[in-house]
Amino acid sequence: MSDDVKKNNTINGEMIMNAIGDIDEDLLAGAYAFRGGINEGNSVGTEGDSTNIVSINKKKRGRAKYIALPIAAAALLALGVITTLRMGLLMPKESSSTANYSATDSASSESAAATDSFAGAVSEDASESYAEAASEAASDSDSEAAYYNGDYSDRDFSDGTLAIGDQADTTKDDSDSFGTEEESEAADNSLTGEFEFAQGETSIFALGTYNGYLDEAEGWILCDSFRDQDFDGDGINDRVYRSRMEGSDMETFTLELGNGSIVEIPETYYTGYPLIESGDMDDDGELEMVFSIMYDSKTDRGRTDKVWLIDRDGKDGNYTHTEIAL
Amino acid sequence: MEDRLIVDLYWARDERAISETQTKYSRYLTTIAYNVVTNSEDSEECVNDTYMRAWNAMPDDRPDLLSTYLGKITRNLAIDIYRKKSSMKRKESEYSLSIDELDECISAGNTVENEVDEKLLSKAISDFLRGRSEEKRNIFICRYFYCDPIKDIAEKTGMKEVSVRSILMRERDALKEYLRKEGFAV
Repeated sequence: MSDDVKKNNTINGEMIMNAIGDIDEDLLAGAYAFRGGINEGNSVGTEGDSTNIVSINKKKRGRAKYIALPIAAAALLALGVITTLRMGLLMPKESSSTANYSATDSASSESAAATDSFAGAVSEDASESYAEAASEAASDSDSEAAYYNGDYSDRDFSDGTLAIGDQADTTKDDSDSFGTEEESEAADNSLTGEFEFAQGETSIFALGTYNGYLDEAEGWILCDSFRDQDFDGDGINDRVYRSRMEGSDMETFTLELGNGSIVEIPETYYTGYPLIESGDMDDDGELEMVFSIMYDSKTDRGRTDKVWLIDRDGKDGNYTHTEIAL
Repeated sequence: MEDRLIVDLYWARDERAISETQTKYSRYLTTIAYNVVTNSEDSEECVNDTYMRAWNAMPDDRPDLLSTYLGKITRNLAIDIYRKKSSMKRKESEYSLSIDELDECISAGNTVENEVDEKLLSKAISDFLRGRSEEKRNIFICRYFYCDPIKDIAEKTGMKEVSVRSILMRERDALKEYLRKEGFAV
C-alpha cells in the first residue's frame, strides 16, 4: 500500500482491532506465555523487574505548566501556602502518602517509561502507606477536635512536622477511604462513558454523580483544566479520577501522576469541584502542587474549602501530601 | 501432548487431532471467544468452528505455534459473530469496549471509502509493540488481542485496575503517535 493510500484512509478503532488480530505470532506467543504463566501461579514479569527498577530522580523534568485558576481560588491557595510557610513547617513524613521507589538503575534512559510498569506496586504501596497514616490521624481525634476549635496549643511544630497536615475529615473513617476495590469498580464505569449530562453543554455543576477521569468529563466546565496536564512537571501527563461514593454525599479524588505514583485525596463533600495549581514554591527544583476543593455556593470558604499541598521530594522522588488549614 | 505431535495428527488426517486440541486448548479458546461475544453458546460455536477451520487448513498450514494459530482463528470467528449480532443490537462486550478505547485515540470522524491494507497496519502495530517494554506489550496484547477484561489483567499482573488503565491509555497514545509518524491518517 502506498503512502497515499495510508493518508487517504482514516483508520478507526475497529480497523486497529482487526489489524491486531494479525500481528506477528512471536508477539502473541509472548503474551500467551504471560497469561498462561500467571494462571499457573508463576511469577510473571520477574524476569524484567531488574531492568525496570529505575530512579525517578533521573527523569527528565518537564517544563512547568500552570493552569489558570479563578482569582478567588488563587487567593485561597496563597493563603494556605503562606500560612504553611509562615509556620516554618515542612512536609510531614509520617503522615504522607509515600510511593517507595527502588532507585538502582540510574543508567536507564527510559526511566519514565519503565517507571510506569511499577504502577501497581507503587500504587499499592502508596495506598497502604496512606491508610496507615490516615489511621494514625484518625486515632488522634482529641487533638483534631482541639484543632478544629482553633486550639493549637497541643501541637508541637518544632520537629518540622506539619500538624495541620494530619487533618482528615473527622466525620469519616479514614481507613476505609483509600485504594479500595470500590474505586476500581468505579474506574471501570468510565469505560462506558456514561455521562449524565448532555454533550455540548457545559456546567460547573455537571460532575454530579460522575465517576471517572476529570479530563473525560466533557460536560463539566473545568474539564479542559485537567486535560493533557503535567501538574508535577515530570514530562508525563497526569490525570485525576473522581469517585462519587455510593450511598453517601462524599467524593474522592485520585491523582495519577503518570510515573506510577498515585495520590489519594481524602473524601470530601460531593458538591465541591477540584482545582490544581502547581509551582516551585520552595525553590527545590521540583514542582509542588496545590489541590483544592472549592465550594462556590458557600459564603465562608475558610470553613468549607479544602486545600492539600502535594510535594515531591527531590532526593528520593516520593510524593507527600498534606491538608492545609484555611 | 506436544503441539508438534498434535499438528502431526492434523497432517495425518487423524481425528484425534481435534480431541487432543480440545483437551489442551478448549478453555483457552473459549475464553478468547467469550471475551468477544459474551455468550456461552456463541463461544462454544466459535471454538467448535475453530477445530473445523484448523482441520481444513492443515495440512497446508503447519503452524509453529499452535496456541496462537488457534487463538487467531477463534478471535476472527468470534469477531464475525459479534459483527453479525451487533448489527441487530450493539451489546457491550470487552470487544466493543476495546474498540471504543481505541477509537479514543484514533479519529473515526471520516468515513473510510477504501479498505486499509490491514497487513500493513498489522505490521506497523507489530513493529510498535516490539519497541515497547515486555510488560506493556503483554498488557496491550492481553487487552486488545485476547480482549481480556482490565480487571483480569490487573489480577494477573498484580496491579490495580487504575494502573492498568493508565498504562493502556499511554500505550494507545503512543500507538497513535507511532502510526501518525508512519504515515497513517489517524
